[in-house]
Amino acid sequence: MINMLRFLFGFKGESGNRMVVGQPVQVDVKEVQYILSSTNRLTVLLNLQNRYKGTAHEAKFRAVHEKSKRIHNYLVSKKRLHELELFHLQHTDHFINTFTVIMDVHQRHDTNSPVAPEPEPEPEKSEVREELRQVKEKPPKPAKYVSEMARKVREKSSGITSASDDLPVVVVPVVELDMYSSIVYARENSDIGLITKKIGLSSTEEEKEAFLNHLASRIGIGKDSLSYAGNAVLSVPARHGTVDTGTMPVINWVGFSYALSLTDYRLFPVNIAPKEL
Amino acid sequence: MRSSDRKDKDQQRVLTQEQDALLDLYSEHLDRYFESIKASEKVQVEIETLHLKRILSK
Repeated sequence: MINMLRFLFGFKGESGNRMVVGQPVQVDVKEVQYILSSTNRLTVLLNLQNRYKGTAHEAKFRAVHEKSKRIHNYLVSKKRLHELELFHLQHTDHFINTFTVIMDVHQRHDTNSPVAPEPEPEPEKSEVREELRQVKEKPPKPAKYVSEMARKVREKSSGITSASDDLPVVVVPVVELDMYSSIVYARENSDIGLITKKIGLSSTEEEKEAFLNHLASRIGIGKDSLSYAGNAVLSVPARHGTVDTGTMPVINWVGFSYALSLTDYRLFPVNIAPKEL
Repeated sequence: MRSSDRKDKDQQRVLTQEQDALLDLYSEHLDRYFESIKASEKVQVEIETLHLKRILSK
């Protein structure tokens, strides 16, 4: 009889998902990730609620945060973590996105203070080259490679200007920030296993802080002059004449934006496209 | 009292009526979602029970 039941249930292919009530369940890395990212989203919701503090809508945002938390707690307690991730993907992310954009626009229009420091003026070509040169020279670590790169860039750009005057003026590319993507930029071993560090627009302040710290240590620019702007998809030149295409973080560094290639930590000047509704 | 209350709130109104309604809808939707995930567990129990019954009655 038991064998028959085992056969039937086993045959249904569901036994992998079954668990005995009260038995300690092994949590795999993916599930830990789901819980972490769910907690992050709750923090983002809380931040959003704080941004609406003092408005007529504050109570409703508090309700949304509490209800989302209730769903989080319930699904975590039932170990239905896949559903939890799905819930956030289908609901929370859209909610956060919509009401963040609404608040951003509101603040930009009503108080005249832009939320994100976006460089408005289009940098002049020579200025950009100057910035580029600085970027290439500043990182102390891969000094030899970078200084060689800087030399090449200088040679190339001086070649362009002296070659002809009627060449089209090249402007810095405009990139669009991606609301949803998050980028894994570091993997670390710790006592609970492999930890991946991610960065995206929905990351918490702590995560963004951690990302900037990481960045500052890698490219040798003081963390205080850097801020994280978002992620964007773009192609940048890589070593040996190849091209790197993918989602890359975009940072602000004293008034200008740069896309960051995570393969060898090089910066490329970009302009951020104004947000559209 | 109520009119002054409303006036006060109007000053801090960030969302349009439509957006505010959307916020209400979302909040209600979260309630329904929570009920549905709780209900789905009951359904699962029922299905399992039914399944077992069927096997035994064969």
